[in-house]
Amino acid sequence: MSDRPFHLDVRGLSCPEPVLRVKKALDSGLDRQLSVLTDSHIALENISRLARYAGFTVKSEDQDGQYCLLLCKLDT
Amino acid sequence: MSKRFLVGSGLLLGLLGVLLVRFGNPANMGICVACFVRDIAGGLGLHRAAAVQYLRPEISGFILGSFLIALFAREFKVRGGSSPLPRFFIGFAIMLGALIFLGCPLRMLLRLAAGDLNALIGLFGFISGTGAGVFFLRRGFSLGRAYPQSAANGLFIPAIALGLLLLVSLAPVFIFFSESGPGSFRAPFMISLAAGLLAGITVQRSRLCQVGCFRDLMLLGDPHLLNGSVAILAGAFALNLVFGYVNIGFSGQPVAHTAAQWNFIGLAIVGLGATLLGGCPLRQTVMAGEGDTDAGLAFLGMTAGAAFAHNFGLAAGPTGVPVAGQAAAFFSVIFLLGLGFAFSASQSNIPIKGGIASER
Repeated sequence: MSDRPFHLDVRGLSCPEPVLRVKKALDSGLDRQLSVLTDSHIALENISRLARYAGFTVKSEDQDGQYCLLLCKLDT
Repeated sequence: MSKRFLVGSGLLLGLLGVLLVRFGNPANMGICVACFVRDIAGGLGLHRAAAVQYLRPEISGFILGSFLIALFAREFKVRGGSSPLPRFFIGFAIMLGALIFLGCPLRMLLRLAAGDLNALIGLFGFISGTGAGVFFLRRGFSLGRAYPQSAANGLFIPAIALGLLLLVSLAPVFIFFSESGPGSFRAPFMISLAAGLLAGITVQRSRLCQVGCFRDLMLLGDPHLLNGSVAILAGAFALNLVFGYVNIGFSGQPVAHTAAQWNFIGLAIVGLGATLLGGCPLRQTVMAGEGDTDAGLAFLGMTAGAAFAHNFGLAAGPTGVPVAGQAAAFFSVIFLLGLGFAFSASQSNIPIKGGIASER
């Protein structure tokens, strides 16, 4: 497993592309951590809901209207 | 937003949709984005179909409600540049499809909640069209990124909404008001405006979307938004029962026709177009209010589509869909499918490990 998080920039994309791209990344199972950058409150909500449903914890940080999300796989 | 808030918002929208009929809007048309944008196009004289001309205050309410609540919630973000012209023409095609069915997806629910079974055929078409859109999304369909723009860009659509309110209040001679037909049925101005503002606020906060509900279910297995649509249906049905508005059947339904194939195709066009845009007509209108200039272009495209539909005899009427409208539906389907393929691309470059992914 890489030490580096898995970055995804979904800024400016229309619904449902942000959440679809995150889903593809999560489904690929390449990593247990994924950091996502978005500028949409709706994408923030949708990605958070998807990630929690998929068994990830979600931490988000608002940086001047841009949201950095860190999704971490829960240990099972 | 929580499921409870979404369901509450859906119930409220359903109740508003029936209450506005009680106060004077056309039957089964308490709220309809497509019908009301068509009426606005007529009220401005962009088409001369005398029965459908009125600057509906509800539409201004949707936009201004969304604008104000987005400002308050610090969600007013001005952005644009994601394929504006294609979005304009998708909006145009959506309006043609909606005027072939005679209603947007929200009116589809309101018609269904009053027992209009033609809307059930429309619902099947809508789900099919959304499914086609999901096919393109799975192929990597994207209209590209939007980028931040200066704040003034985001004021155009709210300013237009405000201008429409002034025009309908002052009623200068060049503004049209239907004296008969659906355009002559209208709730009092203040009630229409208040309901529109409330709906705009509610939809902006709850993220309600009539195409998102089926799209998310098909694409992600996520039923979240579907709760809102079911709540709209339930709220409207309950109040229709109270007021005695329920009339189950195909024939004799208000502002509707019984041509099943065209009810199906009309809303299939709307489902496909709305999936490609990323939101239903109501959602586009609300997003236009919160600073999305691409959604503003889609809204203007819908307005242009309504003007063309009635200037060139494309829109359906109670007797069915004219031949010109059938041809317009054919070209709309070809256009949307072509666009779907043209803007689909391999997603193999997304994501890239360890770096910012995706160039598009």
